[in-house]
Amino acid sequence: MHRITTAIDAGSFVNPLGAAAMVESGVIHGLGQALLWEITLRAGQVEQGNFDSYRLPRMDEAPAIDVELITSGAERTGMGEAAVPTVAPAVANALAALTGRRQRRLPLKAAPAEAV
Amino acid sequence: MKRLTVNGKGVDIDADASTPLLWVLRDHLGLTGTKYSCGIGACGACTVHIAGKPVQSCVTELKAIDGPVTTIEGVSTDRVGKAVQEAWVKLDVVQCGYCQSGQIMAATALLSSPAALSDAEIDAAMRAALCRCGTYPRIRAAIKEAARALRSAQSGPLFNAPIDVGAAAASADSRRSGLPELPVCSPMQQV
Repeated sequence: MHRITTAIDAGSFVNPLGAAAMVESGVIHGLGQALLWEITLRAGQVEQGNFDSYRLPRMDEAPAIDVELITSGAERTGMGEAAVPTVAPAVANALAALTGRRQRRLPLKAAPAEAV
Repeated sequence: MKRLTVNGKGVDIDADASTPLLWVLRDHLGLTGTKYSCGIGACGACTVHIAGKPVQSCVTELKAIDGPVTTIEGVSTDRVGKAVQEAWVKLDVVQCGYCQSGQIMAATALLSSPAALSDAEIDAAMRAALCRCGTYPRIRAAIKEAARALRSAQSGPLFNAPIDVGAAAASADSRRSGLPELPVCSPMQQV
């Protein structure tokens, strides 16, 4: 993952620097959801007990992120986590375009065992 | 009893030799700026300096401490640490804040070494420090801003010059956020 480009229209922005930070960090969060976060069960027990086994994105996995703040003048909306749910579908589409195989489960895998 | 130097002050610690430095700092000395998170050296939230080098205090035993300790409470007395903190404020890095003591200690240790500062070096030095909020892009930009401020301070008058990002981003009418170009990094490792 090299670059993610985002655009958000929240009507207007009281704190553009903070608003952009919400988008940047939402993208990182969304990448974790798309590619890393996974809780697995073995003999009825969760296998992940700490950050050595539960993977979160780290600094070297944070791509370049473009943030476009669009001021349309519409009624203001909130910014909290707004970017998060957009990332997994975008990454899944990019992977499908790259590999020709579409994955239906998260986290997405490099070599999908059950690609549809 | 073990004699330590913490943030420039000598202190006598009456604790078992295997006590992790994290709990010496938090429980014995009341320095709660250093945070407990994973407890196994996997997340970096508890990072402090021993003799200027970053260590994860949750897995560093009292008996292993062989140099002066610096924590987030003391880092601003160091010119690099102060520059890092100022860059963090300028770029509004912090969100929930829990990991940020460790992030600032890791960044200060990185900028205290004379090595060049490529994106790969920033990534390698900061990889140990997890941030669940995902402030990595802002941390990377703030490290570069701190490095720029430190270079300017060495050459003189530009130290307090405003950075571009605040001014550009403060323009609410702008369609562009005005944020600085963020570096392209290595791909997510599992894909």
